[in-house]
Amino acid sequence: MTVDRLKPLKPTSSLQPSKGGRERARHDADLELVRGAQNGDPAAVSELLERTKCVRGMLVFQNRRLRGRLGEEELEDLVQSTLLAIWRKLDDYAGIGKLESWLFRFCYLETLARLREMRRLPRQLDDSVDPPQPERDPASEALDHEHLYRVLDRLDAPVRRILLLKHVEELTFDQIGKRLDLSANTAKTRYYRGIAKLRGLLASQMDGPARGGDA
Amino acid sequence: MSRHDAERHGERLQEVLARGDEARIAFEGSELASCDTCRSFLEATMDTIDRMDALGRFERAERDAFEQAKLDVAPGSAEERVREQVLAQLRGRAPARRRWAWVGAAAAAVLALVAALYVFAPGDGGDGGGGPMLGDGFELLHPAGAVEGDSFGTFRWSGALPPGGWYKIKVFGETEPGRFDLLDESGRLREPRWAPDPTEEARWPARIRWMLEVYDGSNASRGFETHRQDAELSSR
Repeated sequence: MTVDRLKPLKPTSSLQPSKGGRERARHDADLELVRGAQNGDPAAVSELLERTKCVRGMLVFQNRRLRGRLGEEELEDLVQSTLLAIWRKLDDYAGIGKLESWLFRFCYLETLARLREMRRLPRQLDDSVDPPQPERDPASEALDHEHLYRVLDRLDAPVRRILLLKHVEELTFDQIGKRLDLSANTAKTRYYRGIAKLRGLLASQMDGPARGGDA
Repeated sequence: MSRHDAERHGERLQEVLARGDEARIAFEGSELASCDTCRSFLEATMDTIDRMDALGRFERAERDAFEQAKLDVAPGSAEERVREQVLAQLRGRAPARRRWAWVGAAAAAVLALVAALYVFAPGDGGDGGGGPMLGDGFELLHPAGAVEGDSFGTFRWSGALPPGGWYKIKVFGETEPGRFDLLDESGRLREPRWAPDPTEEARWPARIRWMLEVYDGSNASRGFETHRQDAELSSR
């Protein structure tokens, strides 16, 4: 994982709401909270412990979405290991979105990894014992996107940040520029470079493991 | 089909891509439509963008579904255990750092020295034709020794991954005789194979040395479960 090199944060109160900034101020506050906890500030640690209480709910939800393959004890174990992993990897939170969005993505990948380790994920959903579902199937979609998430993880953090801002947070290049202190044109150029890099990584892994891995 | 003109077509492609959702329409209406190279580039790029779009939609939909579900989940014992661990670390942090800092630094230096000697010492694969190196149940399968063609292909190895663990591959290149510099490294791998980025690989020298690192489920390096293999491309 690449550790972001962050610019010193502006005090929240100095941010101009007209520049985009209620969202940005909230994310910056989250980032300050996380960095404070990493530096051992007791108040920040305490607040972060509170904020991460949502992790259990996220894991329970995701386990259900992935068709409830983990039992109660297994879930308890997953909650503990995920919370510890979150504390170990706080460096990865770069304030792209609000803290809970990062936690949600983190929980998804931890749940998928655990199901895979326990061989509870079907190689293809056709192999599953579950009946086909006519509506949107989050389990199938999660498997489809898992590989992309992991390839995204291999990109440098600044590149990954722009791609996520564009596609997950649905920001325009102008908004991305404001968020990252860049011009809209620079944001656009970096975005297309990021897409090219991602395309290269995806192409290089086409002969890699099939979706569903060792399950 | 028109011949690909890298400079002119490249600029035009950037303009087409800048049209966002209408890029494909803009492409068909442009001079690029008859260029196979540009068409293939556009399709691959748009496919990547489409996949990112789908990922974004998925993530937003799942977050919304989670918020709407309003799950009433009672905290369990895991949160308390984690809280105790985090607070214990915080309480013991400053003195522990001072007390153990020199021990940690010395241990890290010794480990780095041992790893460097292990990786860079003249090896049995020095002629590029050595067989896979065995040890601790790990075997580096490919590339090894002389490799036909202009690519090292997909790296492969065997050996049992610790529960929850992961692999990392590091590739060193012989930049001058007997000197190996780090060229590339993989992300976290759970499968015993890795395909390097072809653009990066094209820059590697003909002779490489690669190393497998194994980490356990707590992300701790298994230290000496570190192995190396030499390979040489016949046509670079």
